[in-house]
Amino acid sequence: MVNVKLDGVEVEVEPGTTVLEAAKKAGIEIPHLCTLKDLYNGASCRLCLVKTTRGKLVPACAYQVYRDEEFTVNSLELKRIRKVNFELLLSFHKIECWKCERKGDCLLASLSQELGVEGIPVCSQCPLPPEECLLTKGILCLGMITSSGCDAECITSGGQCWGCRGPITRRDVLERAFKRYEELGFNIDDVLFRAEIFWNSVPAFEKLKKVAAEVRGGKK
Amino acid sequence: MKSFYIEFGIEEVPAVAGRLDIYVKGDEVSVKVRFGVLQDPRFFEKFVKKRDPIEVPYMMSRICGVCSVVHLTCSTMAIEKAMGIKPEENSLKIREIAKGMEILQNNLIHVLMSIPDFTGTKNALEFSKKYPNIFSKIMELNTRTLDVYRRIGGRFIHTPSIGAAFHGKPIYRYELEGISRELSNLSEELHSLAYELAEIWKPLAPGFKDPVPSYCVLQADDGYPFFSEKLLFSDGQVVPAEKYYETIEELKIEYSNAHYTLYKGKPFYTGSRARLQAYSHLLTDRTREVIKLLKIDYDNPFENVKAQYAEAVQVTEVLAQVAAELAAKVKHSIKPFYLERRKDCTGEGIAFATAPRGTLIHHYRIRNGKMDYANVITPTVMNARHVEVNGEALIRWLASSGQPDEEEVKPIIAALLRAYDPCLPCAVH
Repeated sequence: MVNVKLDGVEVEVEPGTTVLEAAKKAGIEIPHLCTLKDLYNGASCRLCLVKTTRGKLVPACAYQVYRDEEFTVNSLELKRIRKVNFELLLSFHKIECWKCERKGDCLLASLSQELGVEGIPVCSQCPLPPEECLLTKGILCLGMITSSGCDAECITSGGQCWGCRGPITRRDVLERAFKRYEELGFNIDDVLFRAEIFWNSVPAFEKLKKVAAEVRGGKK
Repeated sequence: MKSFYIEFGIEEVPAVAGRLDIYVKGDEVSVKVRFGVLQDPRFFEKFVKKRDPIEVPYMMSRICGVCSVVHLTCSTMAIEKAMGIKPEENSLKIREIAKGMEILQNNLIHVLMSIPDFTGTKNALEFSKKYPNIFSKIMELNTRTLDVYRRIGGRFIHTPSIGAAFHGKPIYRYELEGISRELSNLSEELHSLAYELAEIWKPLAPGFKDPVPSYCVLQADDGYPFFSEKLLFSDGQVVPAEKYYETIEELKIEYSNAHYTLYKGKPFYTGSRARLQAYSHLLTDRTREVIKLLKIDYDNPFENVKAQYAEAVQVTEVLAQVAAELAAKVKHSIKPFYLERRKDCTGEGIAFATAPRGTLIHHYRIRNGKMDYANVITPTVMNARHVEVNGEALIRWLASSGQPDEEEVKPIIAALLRAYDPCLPCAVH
């Protein structure tokens, strides 16, 4: 047996155990995305990076422990690194949560919340399946252009999203969202007028308006 | 009367939210009390103009975080009237239950915040140390009230499931039955707690009488009213919705950011004390018993806090019955609905609602599908002038039996204001 020290918490594990498994045993959570036990262990998402005492970053899911060792598992520096890695991963993801079957139970959404990554809309946490989306019933909901992180509480309670969490800033998501509004027969001016209630003094709202104007045909 | 002279200001009253300025000046010849609300005006009535009427209830609910449900529901009713929409009857009952739950929760919390005045303790913290059982019991009842609310409306503050032409949360029959049972239990527990409260609750300024005992409540057409089309004044005058503006005079006051209201040129009050008097024929046996236990003297404005407690008992009983009747009527569940609306409607809607602090009025006009006019009169605005008149009478009453000084008058004026349960952010909506 070897002793592993994770952020000061000691845990005894079999030699050859990964840091991620040791952390699980110690009750410490390390964010990870790509690890599938016995199926895939390629350490490709790089979200589970931890720091050794020598300052080296290693993936917790693949790094096996054969002697007593110490790791930093959660620190501001690691969070920043994980955030950058996650943003890079997310940049390849076509965010259209309103159409996605995983909405309401999405690992990407919960990780983005944990790491403080912006650009994921409220739809990612909305419990309504895509076919029951309020927008398809003609009810104006701002979920598509509002930052997630509220567990879609208004929609869960039976209402619609009013945008109180603030606008998302990712341009491609906004473009797709406004196109979707138009597809469903909503006037983008009405959407922006509704959004003004909470976002009138939010700087990101100006950027959002520009994107909306471009989607509409560059009139405004 | 002995000669005396007092002049002081009060800028903070514990347990009253918002910025205020009470100015007191008096001697044996004349006494003046000014209740100024210094909270910045918030222009809700102005910024809803030109907006989609559907949005208005959600915006109006933001007038107050404490009593958001009553603003939401009252605004919803007024907007629906203006748009010519008739919501389903079941959803109206749900709104009644939601609003009643808010009255219950607000009353309980205000009793807890004000009871130190009547028990010789400085504040709620000291009260919690001296009477830990009573404190924790009221807190427990409050938590259970909020739990019941969650089953009805979801989130308590700025409830998203209630809106104009819309009801968003499915409510199942078994939930309604559970709510009815829980409310009956709450009523029983409030009743038994009243025995303990009666032992420690001492009257403040016993013998002092309200010099202007006129009040305004909702007209009760069918049971204890939560919404109504008419107002009822203590002189028996019934005012229909469209005549309220001619009856209630709204005044701008130079030292306050809130308006004051008068009825026939005189101040009037509103709130639990007014309601228990006006609806004495509608009170349940248990409420009557609590009123007797607490020895509520309706002539004394401080007794409003006791009246709030008694009203909490009344509300739990009424709501338990409403929930039971609704459960008997509903087959499986109350389903969410969105009613069709004309996008270019024109109309006017006025709604009166029983708010925790008194009578609330929302008045809207819609032109071509956009908001054209809004007027809200809150209970604190109605009570404001009454507080001043009672404050002046109270100082004179104190002077009749001694020589009042600042140290004596300051806390009692603060307690008087607290007893009215004012909400200053509401007043400057």
